[in-house]
Amino acid sequence: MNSYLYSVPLYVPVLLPVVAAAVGYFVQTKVYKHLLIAVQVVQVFLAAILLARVRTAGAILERLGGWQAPVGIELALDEISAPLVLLVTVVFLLLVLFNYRKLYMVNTFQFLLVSLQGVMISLFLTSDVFNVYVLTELTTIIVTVLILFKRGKPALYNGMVYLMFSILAMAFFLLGIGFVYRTFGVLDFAGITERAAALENPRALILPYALMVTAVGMKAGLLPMFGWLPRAHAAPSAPSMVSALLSGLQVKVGIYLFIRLQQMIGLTLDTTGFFLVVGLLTAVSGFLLAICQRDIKLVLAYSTVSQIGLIMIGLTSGSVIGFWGGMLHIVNHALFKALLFLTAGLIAKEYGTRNLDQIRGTFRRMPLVTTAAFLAVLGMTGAPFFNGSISKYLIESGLAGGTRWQAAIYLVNFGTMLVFTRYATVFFGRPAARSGGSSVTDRSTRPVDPWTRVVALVFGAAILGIGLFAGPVMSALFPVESPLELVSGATAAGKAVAFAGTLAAAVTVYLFGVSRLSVLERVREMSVSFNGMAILMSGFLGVVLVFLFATV
Amino acid sequence: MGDIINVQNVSLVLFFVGLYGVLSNRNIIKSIIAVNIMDVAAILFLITVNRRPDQIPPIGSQNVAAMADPLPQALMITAIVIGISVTAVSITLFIGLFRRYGTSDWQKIVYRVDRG
Repeated sequence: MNSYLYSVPLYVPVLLPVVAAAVGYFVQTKVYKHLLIAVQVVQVFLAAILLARVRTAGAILERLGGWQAPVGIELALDEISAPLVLLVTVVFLLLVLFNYRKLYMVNTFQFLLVSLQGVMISLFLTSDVFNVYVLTELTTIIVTVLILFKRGKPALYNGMVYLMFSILAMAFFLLGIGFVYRTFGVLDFAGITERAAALENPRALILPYALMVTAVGMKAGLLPMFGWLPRAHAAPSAPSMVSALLSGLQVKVGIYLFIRLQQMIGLTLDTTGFFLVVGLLTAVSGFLLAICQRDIKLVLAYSTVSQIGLIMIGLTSGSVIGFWGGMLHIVNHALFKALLFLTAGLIAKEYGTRNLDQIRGTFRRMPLVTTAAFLAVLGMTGAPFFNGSISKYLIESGLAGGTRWQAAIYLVNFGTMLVFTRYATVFFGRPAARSGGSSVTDRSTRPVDPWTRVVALVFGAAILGIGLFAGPVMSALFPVESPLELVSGATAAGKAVAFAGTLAAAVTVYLFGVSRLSVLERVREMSVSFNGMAILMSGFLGVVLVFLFATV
Repeated sequence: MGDIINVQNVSLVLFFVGLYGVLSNRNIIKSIIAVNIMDVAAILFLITVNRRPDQIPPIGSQNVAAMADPLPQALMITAIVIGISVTAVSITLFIGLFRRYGTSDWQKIVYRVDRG
């Protein structure tokens, strides 16, 4: 029995949600809901088994249909993708539980949601660039429909921009695939890696790589190409669960593809320096834009951009510790950003507004939800004992560049604190009188569902738990000896002092600087249309090409 | 001269013509068409990869050596279907946008979205 479970085929976690969702589609919503929750529990279980198998027996490779690699399709699970598959299943389970009693959990919504999980997992499992193209287009369509799911809100534009921009990026990707096939005659990751290393003229790789990395960078939301991200992640019509899903998981697929792309060409072209800088610029511009926002969800969406930059810095730092620190930050960010979006949705609903300046005193009005949100904020800002501090510390210690890069990390962290100082203003103070408007009183008769509060606190506990048990969690998820002066008292005290200092500086700067600036208003009003985004993306392609032709 | 004008180069030119259309047009319908042109160009490029004029279609099991590479052809059928479906979705969204804002100009719509 045990060994039978142990050898579960890789296509099961892909097909199970899709098939279950399709077969059960016509049953009553109530039954369907429970069916899908059961599927999610099984999925978490399967993902945990697969991770355990990868950690003990090494990477798993499966051929579908019995064809050999260049022609047939292969599924592969290795030490990078296995933890991410587990992350996807865990976050999905928590989100589905969180939304257990929401009214928009109709069959269509759940069907799309659960199919999206299958597609996401297959993106992590696939080992073929053409499949990546197909699956990415599929996620684009599903996500577009999910963004627009709540009817009657003016959000069609957000969906349209997301869709068009993704299609455009994937056209780049497809042409890149064409060049890859012309140069190498294979499309699977292993084949490309092997032949790229044996290439006598590395310049032949530049054009396909630039095209593909532009498309992948757009999916991940790198510097000039994140215009779509806040629009999609903070769309007024998207249920907060969808925002959580997009910011927590969907963006990470782009980062994962970036990791794969770097693995394929890493032996031939060296772009780590370039993407280190791009990561830093993304992180800085992300928090600068986040400070300017007034909409509670837009702040979170821009903060996602900033954290993506931080993850990129870790992944391209070129050291083992930095890389796995970046991977851990992917996990951490998925947890706290999902929780932040969920609680922001609850807060916005309770107050009937999404304007940060009009929400005050959530601690008094909704204590449990605010506690959960506060845990997430602490994780986000890297407070000692929380998960964010571990991954940020690993990223920082993985950077070889010395003090300059450490200063850069401090700058990013300072910016994050500044953003969340602003965000935390909603927690404190005195809530406005409830009789303020009819909409407010209507809502307050229907208090927050206790069920959602429990799930929010579970999220919060996970954030704290990863921080407290960083060593065991690291060695369970990733193949790296957890570096571990983390636990020692001296560094913990040092980090606590550094955290307190940065926090004090951030609060001071916020109170005496940022909150009084009028520039914020103007930045907020800036908007880039689709053409602008396309120009920025072509510009990114151009810069990558120039950089590569100049250095190779 | 005959060497330069081959299908591969034509498809590359077509791709950048499409890109120019995306960059320079504010009309949403034209953007959709331009992205489609890029898609078709990429598909054309892939179909003609490693192709020689004397090759025969990959049908049947005789004379395998003279056949064209079947893999890109199989893949591009998928890509064509995907192109059609995403176009259908984007046109559907465009209809909704046009009904709401009464214009097909990206710039005007973004202005109305962001400033009420």
